[in-house]
Amino acid sequence: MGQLKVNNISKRFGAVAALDGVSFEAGPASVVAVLGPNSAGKSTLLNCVASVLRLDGGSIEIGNARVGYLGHSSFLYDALANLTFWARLAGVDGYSQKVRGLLEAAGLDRHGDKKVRALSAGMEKKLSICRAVINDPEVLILDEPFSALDESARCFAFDCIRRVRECGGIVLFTTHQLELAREVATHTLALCGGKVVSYGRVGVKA
Amino acid sequence: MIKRAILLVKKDIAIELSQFRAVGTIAIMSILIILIFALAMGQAISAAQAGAVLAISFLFCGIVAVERSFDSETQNGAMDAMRSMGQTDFIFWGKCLFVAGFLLAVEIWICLVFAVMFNFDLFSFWLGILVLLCGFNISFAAVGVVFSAMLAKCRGKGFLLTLLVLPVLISPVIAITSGLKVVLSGGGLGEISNWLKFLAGFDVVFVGLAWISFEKVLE
Repeated sequence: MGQLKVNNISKRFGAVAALDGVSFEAGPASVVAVLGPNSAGKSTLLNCVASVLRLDGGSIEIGNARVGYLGHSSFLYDALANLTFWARLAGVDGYSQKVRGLLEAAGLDRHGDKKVRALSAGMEKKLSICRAVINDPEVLILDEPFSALDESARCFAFDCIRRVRECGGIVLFTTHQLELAREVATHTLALCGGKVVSYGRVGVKA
Repeated sequence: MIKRAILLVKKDIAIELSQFRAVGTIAIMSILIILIFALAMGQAISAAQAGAVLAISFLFCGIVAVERSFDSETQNGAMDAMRSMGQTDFIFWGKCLFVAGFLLAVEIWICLVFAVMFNFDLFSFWLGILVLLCGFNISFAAVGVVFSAMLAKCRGKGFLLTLLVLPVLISPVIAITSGLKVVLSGGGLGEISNWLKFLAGFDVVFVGLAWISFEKVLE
């Protein structure tokens, strides 16, 4: 994976400028915590990088990197045992083994065949993180990944982020928990009113 | 892309079979529509009337089928995860395939209900009906998928979908109603060839426009 380059991007929703001239670069093995108050444009930025939203201006260079994305919703189907479907959709080789491995790592191996509606909220969150990393992403985008997680689930989320970073990938995540951001991130990007307030390295790494 | 589209179709079939949401609604709705016509018109109906009853049933039950086509994607935002994979073509083709197949299943069910309630021998005309349905369903599925995707997160999407889809489908509806009238009067495929060409033309136009506009609609 090369670099993620975000060049002067803008995104408007009607009269509201959700992103206004946002630029930053993240190199291989970077974990970028996107911080800021509500309505700062954090989720919009992640949606743009994940190609879910079209840009009004600027550009995002991401190459042909495999992208793993987890938004505010779980992105899971209630009536399915999801991971196999998502693994096959992403074209994962040896998907059965990959699914088994991830479920074991998440502590969900006994619940692998269950439909999502039969899982607890915490299990569903873990499963949604599994879904985001099922394709061994080179760019992992996580919107509020640590909200509503217990300690074991948080450790699992940390492990996923660490694994992507160790493989030279880039992780972009939003959080309101500054302590977690310091613990996990290599860089922080602070947004306010759709503009970059600051961007730089943090001392503590994952 | 084809592999992904087929996976999407299999997923939709699995979800529908596990929940029976659209199937249950459509089964009851189709029986009610045909029952109302049977009570109003009696069992002695002409080929033209039979064609009209069938076309109305196909259309309104089809709208329900189309309306539900993105329910599973909007429930937990799965559509966004698919869009983050870079391509959206497979979503369009997968949904079109599923909706067209589902419409055909719905229409076969409607034909069975119609045959029983009107004591009408539809089976003698199965080939003509099937060919007309295939031509009609392609346009219906393409238009329906685009509008359904557009309205996926709207409240009152059933009403809006009806408002948007029906005017666009007027020409294919005219073609299938007229074609059914000819077929049920004993006409062969040769006699409906003009209607089939008409449907094929609309299929090409609607599928092309729907494919081009699908990504913009998702945005």
